[in-house]
Amino acid sequence: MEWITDYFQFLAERYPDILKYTVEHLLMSIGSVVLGIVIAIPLGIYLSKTEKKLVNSFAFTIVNVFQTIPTIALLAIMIPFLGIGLKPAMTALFLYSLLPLLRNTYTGIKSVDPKIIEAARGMGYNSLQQLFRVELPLAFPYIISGIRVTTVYIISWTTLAAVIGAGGLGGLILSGLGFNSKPLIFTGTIMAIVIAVLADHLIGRVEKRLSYK
Amino acid sequence: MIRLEGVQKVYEDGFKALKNINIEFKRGEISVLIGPSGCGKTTTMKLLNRLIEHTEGKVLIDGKDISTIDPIDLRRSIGYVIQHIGLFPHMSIKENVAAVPKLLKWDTERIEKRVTELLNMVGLDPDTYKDRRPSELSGGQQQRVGVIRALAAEPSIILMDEPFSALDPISREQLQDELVRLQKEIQKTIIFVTHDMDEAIKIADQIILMKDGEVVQQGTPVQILQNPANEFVEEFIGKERLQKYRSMPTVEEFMEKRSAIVSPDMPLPKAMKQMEEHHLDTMIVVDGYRQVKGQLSIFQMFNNNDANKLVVDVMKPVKYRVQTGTPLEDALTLMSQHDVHALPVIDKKLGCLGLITKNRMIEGMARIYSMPRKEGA
Ligand SMILES: Nc1ncnc2c1ncn2[C@@H]1O[C@H](COP(=O)(O)OP(=O)(O)O)[C@@H](O)[C@H]1O
Ligand SMILES: [Mg+2]
Repeated sequence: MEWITDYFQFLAERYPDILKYTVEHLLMSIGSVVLGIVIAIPLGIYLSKTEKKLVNSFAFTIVNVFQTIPTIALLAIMIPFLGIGLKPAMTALFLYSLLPLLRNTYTGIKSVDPKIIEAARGMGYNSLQQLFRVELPLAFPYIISGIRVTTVYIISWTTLAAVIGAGGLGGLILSGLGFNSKPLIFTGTIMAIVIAVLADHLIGRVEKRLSYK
Repeated sequence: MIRLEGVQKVYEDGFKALKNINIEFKRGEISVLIGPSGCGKTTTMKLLNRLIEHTEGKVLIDGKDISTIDPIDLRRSIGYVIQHIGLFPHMSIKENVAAVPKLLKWDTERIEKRVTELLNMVGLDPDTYKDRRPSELSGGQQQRVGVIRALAAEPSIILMDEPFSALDPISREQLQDELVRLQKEIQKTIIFVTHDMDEAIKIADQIILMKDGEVVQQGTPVQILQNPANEFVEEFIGKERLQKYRSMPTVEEFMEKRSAIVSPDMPLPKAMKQMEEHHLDTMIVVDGYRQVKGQLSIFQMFNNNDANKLVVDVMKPVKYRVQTGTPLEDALTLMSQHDVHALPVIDKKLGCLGLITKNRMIEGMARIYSMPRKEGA
């Protein structure tokens, strides 16, 4: 049982660091996802509306390609362009968040029953009113579930950002590896899991609250 | 009044869906567009709120060319009910009904009042239903909401595209009855699309029968049933229905003939005597050319009991009339709709032949329905 007291002592000594890494991690992942949302949702809406097939397949191909590059490779590729640190890490994470957000937004809007759209048009909704009062509320369950999934796995992938010197809980794990410190590795891993589970739960509640039955 | 003048529609793919359509939808009437699938009913209807733009000709509402009206404004001023109950699933019943008033920026109090009034109108208790979602209502209830949603902003024109076709037969009949009842109150100009002839006969003031993008025949249900324009119409109506209709008793079988007819220059006492002799309470005034000049009721006679007066001095104008061949049931419907007790019977060629009264008709109907029916009808 000695290791437990040891571990608590470790926590007591290192908690400012742990907190700092955790906050870094959180900001980095949320920042990337928010950036992703800001770009992907409007883009998804646009793509669902455009009749230009070429634009559509072009956009989807690009984001698909990002998705298929292995995480560590994408991070590495960033270095020649953006150096090391926060900027390349967040850029990579942002690129990863695009596809699921884009796809869910697109599918969500496309899944709205055309009869309902016709009813809205026939009643005199203009295109903005139609989008905000009918299409987006009906696509919302898809969009929010896209955000949920994306957030969870971006939180997990953010641990890799430390490899290119961006900090976060990955930093904790890396130094654990360097100093051969099990508590460091353990804490870094657990914190990443806790954040991911909490985020999943929180967004799940928003999803329940705001989705129509 | 809505008028289509030489309207054509060629779709982007080059398909000519409408070929030179000329129709008039009269104010306050239910006009039914009917025809086989693909004949252009929906296309015709959607021209009216510019969901589809015509490629040739003119569409006029109260004399105004609708291509000069902003489509959004136009649509907000026209009620629209679609086939598959396009209620918004994410909105409550109240929000659904309030949709167009909200677009028109009515204040909340007025909207609230209107929603309550409309729900009551179709027998849905506001307190029970207004906060429910569409998915919590039966199909029939949902389409009632669909109908009142179209009425919400008090449009004078309502478009309905096969609104009841997805319902079970019982709800469908109920909603048809309700529409007919409602229409007496609201007197809207209703354009109703269907492919169901029974439905058309039941609700239409005017039927417009289409085929391959053209109007084949246009008239009241009775006119069309009596004089199908060609073989296609006969076929569309169906031999069975035609037969049934033809075997139904018509007004001339039960009308009062010469006994109910007086001439305008007959002295009142003589007319009164004729009335008494034949136990009538209404007589029809017909001139030498068999044209209806007016009618005379027993009350007018009593009120003007003056031996020096002539029929022409006290008679009242006639508002409604029926044609020969009109089934008894239709005449009875007309009477109860307009609250009249007698109708002159007119033949297109021969002029006025007599008068059908409510009493005589009910006697006649009673006699028919107490007899065993002929061919299992
Ligand atoms: N957007 C379109 N493009 C090409 N053809 C169309 C389009 N919409 C309808 N049509 C064709 O026009 C004809 C009439 O259609 P419609 O008015 O919907 O018929 P209905 O009488 O069944 O309501 C049909 O043959 C249909 O296939
Ligand atoms: Mg149709």
